[in-house]
Amino acid sequence: MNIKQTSFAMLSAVLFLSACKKVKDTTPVLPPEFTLPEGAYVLSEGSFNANNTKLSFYAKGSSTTTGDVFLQQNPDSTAGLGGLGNDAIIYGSKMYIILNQSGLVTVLKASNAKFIKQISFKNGITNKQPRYAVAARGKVYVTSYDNTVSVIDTSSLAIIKTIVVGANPEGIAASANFLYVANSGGFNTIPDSTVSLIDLNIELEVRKIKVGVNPYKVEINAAGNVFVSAYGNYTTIPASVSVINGALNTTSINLGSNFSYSNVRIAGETAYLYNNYGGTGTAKVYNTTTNTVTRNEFITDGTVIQTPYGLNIDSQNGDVYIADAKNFTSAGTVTCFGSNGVKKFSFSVSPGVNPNTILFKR
Amino acid sequence: MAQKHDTLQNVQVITKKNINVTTSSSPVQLLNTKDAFKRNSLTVADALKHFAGVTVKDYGGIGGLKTVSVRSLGANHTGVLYDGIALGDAQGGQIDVGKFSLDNIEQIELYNSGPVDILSPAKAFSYGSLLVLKTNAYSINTKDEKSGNVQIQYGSFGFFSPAIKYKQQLGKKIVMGFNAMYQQANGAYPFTSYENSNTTKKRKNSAIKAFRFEYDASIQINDSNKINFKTYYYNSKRGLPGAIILFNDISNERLNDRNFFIQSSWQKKAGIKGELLLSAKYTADKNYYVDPTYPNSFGRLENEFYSKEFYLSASYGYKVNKIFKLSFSSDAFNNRLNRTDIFAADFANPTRNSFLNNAAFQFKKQRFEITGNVLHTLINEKVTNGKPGRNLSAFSEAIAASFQPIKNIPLRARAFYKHVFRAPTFNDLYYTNVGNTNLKPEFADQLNAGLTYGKQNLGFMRSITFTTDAYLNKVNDKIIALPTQNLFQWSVQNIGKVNIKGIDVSLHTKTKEWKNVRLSADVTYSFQEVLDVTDNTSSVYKTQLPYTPKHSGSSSFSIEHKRATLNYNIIFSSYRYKQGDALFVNLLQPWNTNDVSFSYSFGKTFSTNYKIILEANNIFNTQYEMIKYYPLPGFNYRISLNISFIKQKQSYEY
Repeated sequence: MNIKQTSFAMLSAVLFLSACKKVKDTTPVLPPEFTLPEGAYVLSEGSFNANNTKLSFYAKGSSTTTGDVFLQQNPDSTAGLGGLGNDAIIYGSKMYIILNQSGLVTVLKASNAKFIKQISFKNGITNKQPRYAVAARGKVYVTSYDNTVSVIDTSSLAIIKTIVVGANPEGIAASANFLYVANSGGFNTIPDSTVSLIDLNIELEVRKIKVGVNPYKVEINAAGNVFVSAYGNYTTIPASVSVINGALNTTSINLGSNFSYSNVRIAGETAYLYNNYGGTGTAKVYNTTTNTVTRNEFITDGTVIQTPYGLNIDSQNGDVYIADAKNFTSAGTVTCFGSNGVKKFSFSVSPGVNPNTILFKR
Repeated sequence: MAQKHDTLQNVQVITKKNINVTTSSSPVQLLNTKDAFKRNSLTVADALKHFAGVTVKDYGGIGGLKTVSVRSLGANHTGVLYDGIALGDAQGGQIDVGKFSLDNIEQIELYNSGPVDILSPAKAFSYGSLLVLKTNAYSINTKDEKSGNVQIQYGSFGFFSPAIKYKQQLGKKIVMGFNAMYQQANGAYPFTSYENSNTTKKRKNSAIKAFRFEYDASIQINDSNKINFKTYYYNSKRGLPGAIILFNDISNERLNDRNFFIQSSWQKKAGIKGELLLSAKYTADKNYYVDPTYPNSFGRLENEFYSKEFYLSASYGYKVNKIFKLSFSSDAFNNRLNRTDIFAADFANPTRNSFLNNAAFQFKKQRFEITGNVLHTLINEKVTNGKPGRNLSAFSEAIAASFQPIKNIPLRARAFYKHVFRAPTFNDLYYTNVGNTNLKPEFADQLNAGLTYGKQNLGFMRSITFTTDAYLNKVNDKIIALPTQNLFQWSVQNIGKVNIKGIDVSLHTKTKEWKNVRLSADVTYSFQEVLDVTDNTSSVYKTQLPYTPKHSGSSSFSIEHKRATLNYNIIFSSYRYKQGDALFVNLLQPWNTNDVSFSYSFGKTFSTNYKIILEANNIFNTQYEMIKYYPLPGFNYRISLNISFIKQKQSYEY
């Protein structure tokens, strides 16, 4: 070998190393559909800093799920929905997706998940951090961690008013005349423990009602009573469920230590309580008319849900859909049970991680 | 001429112990500053990207965090010795190697097992792998009276950095000097927008200002009796740009750091066969984090931590005979962490006392070497609030051997086994709402076998060094943070289990001078299969650990002609997944970066010398990321002007 040959050998080693090919996506992407069949949308919030909020679609009776129906229906939006989709609601012909980390409410067509608009939830150098939404009287009300409820006009899709509430509001529910907003105060050293009562006629907070420490979700039963689940302080104060009499709207009663749940979902007179703090089991079934526990464990056939992270009830047949966040990092699943707690079917929402909301598409 | 100069320098430096990467019984990689410059490196982190088996996690920009995981053991298993004494890491356990710029560092050494010299503080034996950074502060040059160096660097994204070094000899036995560096950058580098790949955005809140000052003194009574003293001060203020969040460019968080330490060591012969090494260190660090738009009732969140470390070490080495050496080292640490901001609430303010005792032996003949050690660690912990972490008492051990089978062929076989652990850090134990005081240590086992070949003056080659090692590592009770119940409640737990298989290959070649031209080429390659074996029911069971490329490597090619040097560098990484599930949405594309640099020196070698270095980094403007949503800079440049002077004594002593 002479110097020339050596240099050549060295140079080829250099060039060999520089050969790196891009990896192609082999996931088949289906063409967009004009309308989607009857089924269910599932929102997966994704992980912190991962920008991986996904909207999946399950067509009723099918064996497969469209893991990323937003991308399928909006093939140009390759970036995706954004970061931390905490909530989604369908109201009228539109779907509103609340994206906490991206500071957005993204509006889609409810019939086919086609993109309509992004509503910015930023205020100068601050992300308001939107969290949960409810619709009432032709408007959509969105809580944000900056101690506000924003009012979205559903035709102009713009924020038309901001209502000041308590610290770091989370869940929100609407009765005929009032909004109930859970003030968590979760960013303070000592959490809040109130619900803001907003009069829908004047769109202002009229009162704060004392509930459990660090309230999270708010649901209203058929009789108009308001159930508020609270996280507690994660250490010494356990999770709790409080009930506000919807006719009086003054005080609440705490359901006691057997109701250490941070999450609640109500259909008619039946409340499903889940996220049993420090305990076991998937969900407790509670009759809100008779104030009795229907079943301490909803699931009756031994089906295991690792981390119940979202729950919804199909009003057509009473079926209960439970979203499982698994270990919070791998793809989530949704399992459908009959109201008797027997599993009917389940589907994966891959690539969705941390599924939290199930919405029925008729 | 150039060659002559090199040889002279080697003779002049009397304190430098040469480390032979081919005869060492456990793998060693090293890079001196001269070669680091050839690799377009600004900091230790850049230089380490050229080391085999090293995964640098670079969060981007000059101010971005850069951690080092060696052979996938995790960044917490890499210890750093700075001029012989361990840098404190009780709080977070991961040292940001991007903080160490190369202006004052003479040599970077990476040991996959323990230190080669068994006369080392016990702490040096306690890590999975050991990164040794050496400044040239203590070396006495027998001829030089005064020497100094001024360097000014200017580059892309508002980078500007002046640095100065000065060293003076007082008589034949005392040397003292200082070095200082200031660095600033706006860090606003462009990257391809994640929302729309046809547009470009600029990184926000990525500016940094940093200042470093060091004072060193050394008394060298003779070759076997010397005292070193060092003072170190570093201060930085930086924005924390965070991950790119889609549709949200807001970034306000900031971090201020202050590091201060004084350290001293005394190495002395004790009797005919004994040697003593005594060290002491005091460290006082402060870090302050602020999020000025946090949605609490104050409208901001602050974290202010003060950490202090007192450290004493004594080592005694005994030469039984020419080939057999024993050593015993005993270290004591006192670490405190105090949180002082108004949000501290009932922070634990822990105090940790650690006692490390190590016994080592070395049997070294020309063609055979065996080295081993046993280390005992005792940790006691106290807190002002809540429950303290577990007390700990555990042994770790290592053994390494190398053997040259045929006398005249410089081919050696080597193997080592090492069992170590890392104690839970203060952050693991006491971080608000997340920390878990029930944590056990995280254990790492390493088994390595390799071959080395090193030959000088082979035909027209000046040197050829080839090393290859295969290894099997296991990490048990890996400490990881996991969400529990919901994403608000995280908890640190000992649940991870990782199986690692890997191969490291490195080849370093230099040619002899031919018509004033010298060539050198360096290639490293690493293969790593790093499987998560935590939970056999999980979908990520036996999948590659996130952010770990299977294939990675580097190559450097350099041509020197008289006083000019031209270098070409490539670093590459195969694809990785950001989560265990092998889905396209979790994929990070493979990347390679190509850097070119050119340097030219002029002036007089033995008085005032000027050097200009032009660096063009990432010349193909590759858009890439090591951590998802932390884009890294595309094309960028640096221009450096370096003026060095040496004032020599009148009478030459050679």
